[in-house]
Amino acid sequence: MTDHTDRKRETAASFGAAADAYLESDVHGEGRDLETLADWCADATTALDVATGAGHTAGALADRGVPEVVGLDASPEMVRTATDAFDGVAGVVGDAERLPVADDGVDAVTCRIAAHHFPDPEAFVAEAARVLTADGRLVVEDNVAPPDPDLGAFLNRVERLRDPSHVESYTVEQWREWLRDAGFTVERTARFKKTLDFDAWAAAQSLDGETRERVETILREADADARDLFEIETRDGDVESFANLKAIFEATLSE
Amino acid sequence: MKRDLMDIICCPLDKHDLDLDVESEEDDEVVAGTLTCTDCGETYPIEDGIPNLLPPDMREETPA
Repeated sequence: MTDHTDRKRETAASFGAAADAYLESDVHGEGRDLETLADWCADATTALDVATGAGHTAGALADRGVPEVVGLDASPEMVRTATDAFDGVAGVVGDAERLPVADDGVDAVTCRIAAHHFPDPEAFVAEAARVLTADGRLVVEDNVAPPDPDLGAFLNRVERLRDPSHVESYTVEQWREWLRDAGFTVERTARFKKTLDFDAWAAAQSLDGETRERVETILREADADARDLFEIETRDGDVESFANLKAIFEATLSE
Repeated sequence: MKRDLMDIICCPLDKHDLDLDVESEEDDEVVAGTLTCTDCGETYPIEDGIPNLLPPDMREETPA
């Protein structure tokens, strides 16, 4: 518990420092995944966006006409950035695993590309079930690990080296199990790959020379299976791009 | 924060309702104040219009 709490405090502090970079980030601000996520929640009346970051998802929900949207993040600077940037978004500073939200308080919970930072994502899923109304829905998007444990370990090693606040990317099957255990029915799962420019991806965490070189070396020297799955592209010994795996889950509490 | 946010938020520790104590308010927005749990008595600040409902062990001023 104490380790988790320290870890979350450090994560919140690192995101506070990076708040402006995230607002400008293509990976977090654009793309059809954001549209998909907003589409699946468009008929909600009160939405809670957990780990809202710079508020892109909360803003997209407000744009779709969700009357009440709350963006929650553990970093006060991130919440400030989100509420300043997007109209119709109320801000709350809080912990994803101990939500300060009443039972049956909202009819949509979203969480986009953030749960791999959570020390205990299962606790977050249980909290989402608690705060949702009986007809509500949880829509989670995150980076996911492939089913092959070796390839999953490769991915998590690269991510942790780049970003110490990365805890773990889990498999699609692990997510479905957590959702079912919390009483959800998984209605839809969308899987996709997102190609990332290596330079931009490294810059998003302000990687210094040595760490950047280590990450690039791991990608460059990846075995054929990893190279194939993650679409690692190199030119003249430099890593140009690679793809990460993402999934969006829609889960409801209906029987 | 708008006052109707009180319908949604609660104490992160025991999930009980919060009492709102307003220190300043502008254009229907509570700018500064305190939220107090009606059950455990824990207090949470509203700073610059944003309620900080982090559990006490995650707040910045609390030593790790």
